[in-house]
Formats: sequence, C-alpha cells, structure tokens
Amino acid sequence: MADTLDHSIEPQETVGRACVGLSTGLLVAGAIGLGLTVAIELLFGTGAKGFFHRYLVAFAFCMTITLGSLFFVLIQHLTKAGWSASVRRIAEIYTLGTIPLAVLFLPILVSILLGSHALYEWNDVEHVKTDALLLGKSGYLNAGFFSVRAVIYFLVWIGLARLFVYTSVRQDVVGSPDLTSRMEAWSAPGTLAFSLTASFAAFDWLMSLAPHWYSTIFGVYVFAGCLVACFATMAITVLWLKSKGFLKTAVNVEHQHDLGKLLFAFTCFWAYIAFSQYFLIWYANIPEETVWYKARLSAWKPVSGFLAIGHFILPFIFFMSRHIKRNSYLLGFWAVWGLLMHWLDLYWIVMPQMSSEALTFSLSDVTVLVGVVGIWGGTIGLLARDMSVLAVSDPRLPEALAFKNL
Amino acid sequence: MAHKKTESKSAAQPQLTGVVAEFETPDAVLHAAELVRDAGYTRWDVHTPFPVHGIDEAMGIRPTILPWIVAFMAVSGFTGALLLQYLANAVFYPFIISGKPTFAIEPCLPVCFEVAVLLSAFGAFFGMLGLNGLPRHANDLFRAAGFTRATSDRFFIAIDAADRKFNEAESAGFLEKLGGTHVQKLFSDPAGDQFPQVLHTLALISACIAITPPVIVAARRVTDQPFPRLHLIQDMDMQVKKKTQKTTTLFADGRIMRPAINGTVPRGGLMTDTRKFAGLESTSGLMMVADAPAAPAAAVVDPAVAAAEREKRPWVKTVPVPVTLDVLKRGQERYRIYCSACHGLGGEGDGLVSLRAVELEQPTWTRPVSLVSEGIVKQPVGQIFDTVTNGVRRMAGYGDQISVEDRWAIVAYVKALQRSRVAPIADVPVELLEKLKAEAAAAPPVGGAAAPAVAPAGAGGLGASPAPAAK
Repeated sequence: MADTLDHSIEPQETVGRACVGLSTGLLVAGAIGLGLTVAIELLFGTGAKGFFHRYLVAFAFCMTITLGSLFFVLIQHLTKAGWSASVRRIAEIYTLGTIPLAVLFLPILVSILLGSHALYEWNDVEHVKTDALLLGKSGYLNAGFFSVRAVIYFLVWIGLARLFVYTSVRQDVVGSPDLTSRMEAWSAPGTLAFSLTASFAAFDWLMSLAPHWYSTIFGVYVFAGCLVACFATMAITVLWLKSKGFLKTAVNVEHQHDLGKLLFAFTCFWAYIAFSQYFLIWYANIPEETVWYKARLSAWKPVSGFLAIGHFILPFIFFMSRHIKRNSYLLGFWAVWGLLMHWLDLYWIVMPQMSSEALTFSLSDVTVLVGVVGIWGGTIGLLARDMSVLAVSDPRLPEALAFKNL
Repeated sequence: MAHKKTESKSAAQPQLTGVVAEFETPDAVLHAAELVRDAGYTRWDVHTPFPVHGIDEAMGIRPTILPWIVAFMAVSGFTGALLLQYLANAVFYPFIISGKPTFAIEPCLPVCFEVAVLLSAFGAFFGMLGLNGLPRHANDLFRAAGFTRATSDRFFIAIDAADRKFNEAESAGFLEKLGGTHVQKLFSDPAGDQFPQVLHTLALISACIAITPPVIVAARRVTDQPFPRLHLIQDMDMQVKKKTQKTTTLFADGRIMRPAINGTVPRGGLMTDTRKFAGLESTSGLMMVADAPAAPAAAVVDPAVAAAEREKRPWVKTVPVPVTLDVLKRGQERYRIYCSACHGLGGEGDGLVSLRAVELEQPTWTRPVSLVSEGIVKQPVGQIFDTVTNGVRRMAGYGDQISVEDRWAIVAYVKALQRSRVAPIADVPVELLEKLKAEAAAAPPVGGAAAPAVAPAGAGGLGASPAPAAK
C-alpha cells in the first residue's frame, strides 16, 4: 500500500547543537560530584570501602546503559531491522560511553592491583589462604587475571562501539548501502563477543562481590537490566530531543511506541530472570546459595520488596496499555521510573555485600551518581559533537519512517 | 467484523440480504469505506485479501474489547491457580516436604504464570471467534460471483440488508457511485440456511459416545461391586513373573529360587584359596557350612563341643592378603561402620549399642568381648576372620555384607588395635607425640575417652613398623 506521508527530513542537527554547553556542564558537575563523594566518604562515611562500593554502583549504572545500547545496535544489524533506523543513532552515540567508562574503571582496577580489598574479598591474599573456597577460586579470582579480563572487555567493547558508530557516521556522508552490509556482517561475531564479555564482566565486577556465592544466570540477569536501562535512556533521549525540536519527522509516535514496548518487554524479562534466579535458590535451599539472598532479606527486605513491586509489578500493570506507551508524557515518566529502578537494582546487588545488617543510603550515593554520569555523559557529548542525531543515509530509513504499529 | 446476523427465512422464498461491490485497490476500498462510514451505515463489512493499514479508522470501528477479555482471563487464571495450590498444599494435604512451609508464594508463581498464559490464550482465541460471530457455516456472500477473489487480489464492500439505512435501489447505486464494480445483490440460500439435520444427528451421537466412558467410571465409583475392578490398562501392575521366596509348580522341588547346579561355580564365586576365603590352612577333614546338607532339627550339636572343635581347626596365623597403610585405613573405616556399634571404637566392647543394652538391663543381651583382651589377642587371625564372616555365640556373621578383602582389612585393624595397647612410646611418630604431650598438658586426661582418640595413632604408627599379624 502506498503511504502518502511526506517523508522529507528536516536539515540534520548534530549532537553538538543539541546539547550546547551541556557536555561541559556535565563534566564540571561530574568532577564536583566525584570530589564531594570522596570528601563525604572520607570525612563522614566508611572510607575506601564505602567510596568504592558506591562508586561501583554508579559505574555499573552507566556501564549497563552503554552495554544495553551496544547490544541494541548489534541486534538491529543482526536482524536487519527497518523500524529502528530512525532511533539507532541515539543508541550508537551511547555506545561511545565505553571510552569514558574505560577511564572511570581505572580507580577500581588500580586499587585492586595495589592490593586493596575494599571491594573484593578475594583480593585479600592473607584471608584467601585461610578460606578453602576462595583458595579454590583463586586461579580465576586474582588481581592479575581480573585486570587482564577487564582490559579484554574494554578492548572488545570500544572496538565494537567505534566500528559501528564510525561506520554509520561515515554512511551519513558517503551514503553507501555497502556500509550497512559491512555492519551486518560484523554484527554476528560482535553479538557473540558481546554476550561473552558482558556475562563475564557481570561475574567479575558484580557477582564476585560475594565470592563464595555463584549463580549461573547472573550474567543474564545483569544483561536484562542493561536492556531496561538502554530502552529507558533511549526513550528519554528521544523525548528530550523532540522537545528541543530535533527529530520532529524522523521519530514519530510509532517509534516511541516501539521503544515503550521494548522497555516493557525487558522489564518483564528482568522480572522473569530475577525470579528464576531466586526461585531455584529458594527451592534448593542450599546454604552456599541462599547466603546471597539472606543478606537481602533481613535488613534489606523492604528494599527487596520495593524492587519487586517497583521494577516489575507497577510497570507491568500501569505500563502495559498501548495508550500509555503512545503518550509522550507517560512514556517519559515510566522511562525515568525504569532508570530509577534499574539504579536501585544495581544498588541492591552491590551494597548489601558491604553492609548486610543496615541500609546504606547516603547523600554520597547521589553525588557519586552525579559524578560518574556527568563524566560519562559529558565525554559522550564531546566525542559525538559532530555526529548527526539521525542516521540520515541509512538505506532502511524510509522503511522506518513508513513504519506503523498495527 | 461480521455485523449481521441473518434471521432464518423460509426456504422457498429467497430474500434480499444485502449488496456487495468489488474494488481493485486497497486505496480505493479504503476511500470507499470512509464514505460508507460517513453515509451512516452501521451493518456492513469490508473483505480484503490482506490487512489494510487504516481500515479500522476508515470503517469507524471502535477499539476492540478483546484485551479486556484477555486481561480478565489472565487474572482468573492467576488467582485460580493460586487458590488451587493454596487449597491443595495448605488445606487438604498440609505435608511438610524438605522443610518447606506448607504454603509459600514462591513455588506457586510458575504455575500461576502458566495458567494465566493458558487462559489468556483461550480468552484471545475464543474471544476473537465470539466477537467476530464465528464460526459460521454459511454466508450469502459465498454465492456472489467472483467473491473468491477476496482471498487473492480484489477488495469488497458488502452492506447488510438489515442496516437501517439500507435501501434496495439506493444502496447498490451508492456503492457503484463510490467506484465499485460488479455490484451484486445478495439473496438468502433458496435451500435455507439451517444447519444440516444429519450433522445435528451426528453431533448428538458423538456426544453420547463421548460421555459413555466417564458415565461408566462414575457409576462404578459410587456403587458396590462384588467382583474386582476392571483392570483395563495393565501397566506394570501385573507381570508374568515370580518374586523371591515364592513357590512354583515349574520345578520339582517347588522353589522359585534356584540353587546352583552341581558342579558349577557362580561368576566370582570360585573360592579355592582356603587361606583367603575361610582363614584355614586346609579344609580336609572339616565340614564347611556351605556344603552342609540341611541338618535335621533334632541333631543339635552341644555348643561346648562345637566351640572346642572350632578352636582346634588349622587357622591361618598371618593375614593372607598384603597389609599396607591403605588396607589398615580401610579396615579402620569398615570397623567403625560395622563393628564399633557393639565393640566400641577402641575395641573394648563398649559400643553404644552395648552400653545402652546394659543400661536397660536387657536379659538376653550378651556383652561383646573386648577385642583387646588376652583371649582374642591369642586367637589366630584366621579365627577372627571366621568370626567376622560367620559370627560366634550371639554375634551374627557379616560375610554377606562385607567383602572378603574388607573382612581381612578389619582383621588387620583389630590386630593393630591390640598392638596399640602394648605399643612402646617409641612407636608414636614424633610430631604426634608432641601434639599429644601438648594436649595432655592443656587438659587432664579423662578416663576412657583417651583410648579411641589414640586408636588412629596406633594405626598410623603400624604403617611404619610391621604389624604382628602381617606377613
């Protein structure tokens, strides 16, 4: 059926024009935030232990958004998706976050190489000697191998991000459909490399906070969170850009609806995986496995309950309707809500490992989040300042513009 | 999207039931549909070979209520499954299994989820059929010429005669004006649109056949029967086989369990090495238990005579298998499993079972001998082996439970226990000696508790110096 809509695109805007002054502002806010966090933690908090745990939450928050975006880009090329051509550039830009994140990971990496065990119990050499279980895992969980793996992860992610972003940006200029074929060819090995590195990064950085405990589904659990974070961030970014007058014709309510559907779907997927992990451990009732949940079902029980309700039940009931997903304000609300819940999810993964007896919410949770998000977002803004916010020459763009939900 | 429901008409008089017009393109039918909608028709339909974008708005169809049906079914399924599990687990059969509470939400959720999905699917499928007025066995449109092209390359608009705005002359002209071609009038089937009588009959018969088995089952369940129930499906309840210890008419002796055939030896049962298997230098002149014919009950041998005869047998004096540290450790482990309950960990006859029996003053209880007493120390290892194998006095034989090698390992360990009672302090390894000295300095020794604690040390020490019983 011939669609008679006018598909002419407005003169394209770059990221630099979309966020004039924002990148610098974010970087300044980031520096202040990190400085404040260090000050608060050293003066009033729990020192290095508190700082590194809170820092890890904020780092993981940006890392999951970035990895979710990388996966989104990979999977769009892998499936040769047409509808997403108008929003894919947003995700591509977020994958550039791998570069600032590699730098932001240095404090953790250096502290581990210096022998700090503020974060990871397995880095305490004397303690490991007296712990048969940790001794058995020390071939994998040791500072050297941990660092090597982290370097590999970042090499893979930065490599994939640069490959897809710069190929796509070059297509804006040269307009060759061959570049799309090239990205499609890379997407399959890229997805394979992504799934391995993302799973093992989740094991290394988050699961090894409880080095005695293990859950084979943990990588998928974090991956589900990545996608929730990614779709929420994309929806917020699209709505923000549109409110500033960008992407007016390129992204319409159909694309917003689809981002909402994916956000809803991965919210449910997260719940499915979270429950699968909890359910098997509950049923088997083996001390080695229940210990992780025990730390989260005593003092942290209200947080756990709130997470189940806020991260799944509320969005499941109130974000299901298509009318809500097609309403910009409601979509924006649920996207922000999803991001908040994702942050709480990461907080709930990390912080009970530092203090299982008492809740640890503190002002420095906010300042460190501002710090890490500021540096991450500001650097992305600077790196992408000359990039268009739309992949204008994507051969599937017309398909995306004509796309309609039935 | 079927808006009409044709009333049954008499077969003789075909009645006008509507008009249908053909369109060539989806755009044409979309545009025409908007005009039909605007003209105020309510009972009409569009037939297309594939979904046409925007046709819902063009026809003025309100959003379907199907999602609400699905949501209702999902909630029903979830709560129904939850209730069923609650009643079954917490009310009707409140069993505690692996320490789990009788009712907890966790194990219920997967079932609730599955049932909610199942009922949602039913709601979506049957709700869709119901809302569309399906299934229908006949439609006057099917007799319109060329209408089959609605499944390949033509688009049709049909207006029902039951529509309040329908007018025989005007409606056909209206469709033609919209660009419709081949405008046809639809008539009810001259043969009548009743459901065929033969199908009614067949359905009735099928229903009767279908409910017969459950009716029979139900009748059997509520009435008393003088004969056993009908065992339709045998499964593995009844097998053509005999179980152990049962009789048969197949063999002359009536036994279902067959003794070994004369002159044959079961695999692994060739026990010619009498030193190893019987603890005897030779069996000549002796009647072995295995060969004994079923002795008449009256011919009971005097126990004292039998005991004296047993003492005189040619018992082996050394363990006929190699004694290594591993064998001793194996013997220690087996001893603790099989022997220590009565004989005690140190072999002094102070096992828990014996202590308890003595405490309860059991009249028939015979106290187990101390394995480290002089009488047992003097016994040849072959005799100890025989005791383990066949039992003595009130002790049962363990030959059926413990393998030959393990029995000899136990014998070797018993000899080690005996040795440990008279071992010089030089036999104790240096580091162990220091540890014991430190322990002794820390806490004053308490009575009998010391003996079992030293036992492993004795076994360890024997590995270095040859045991008296070893070759």
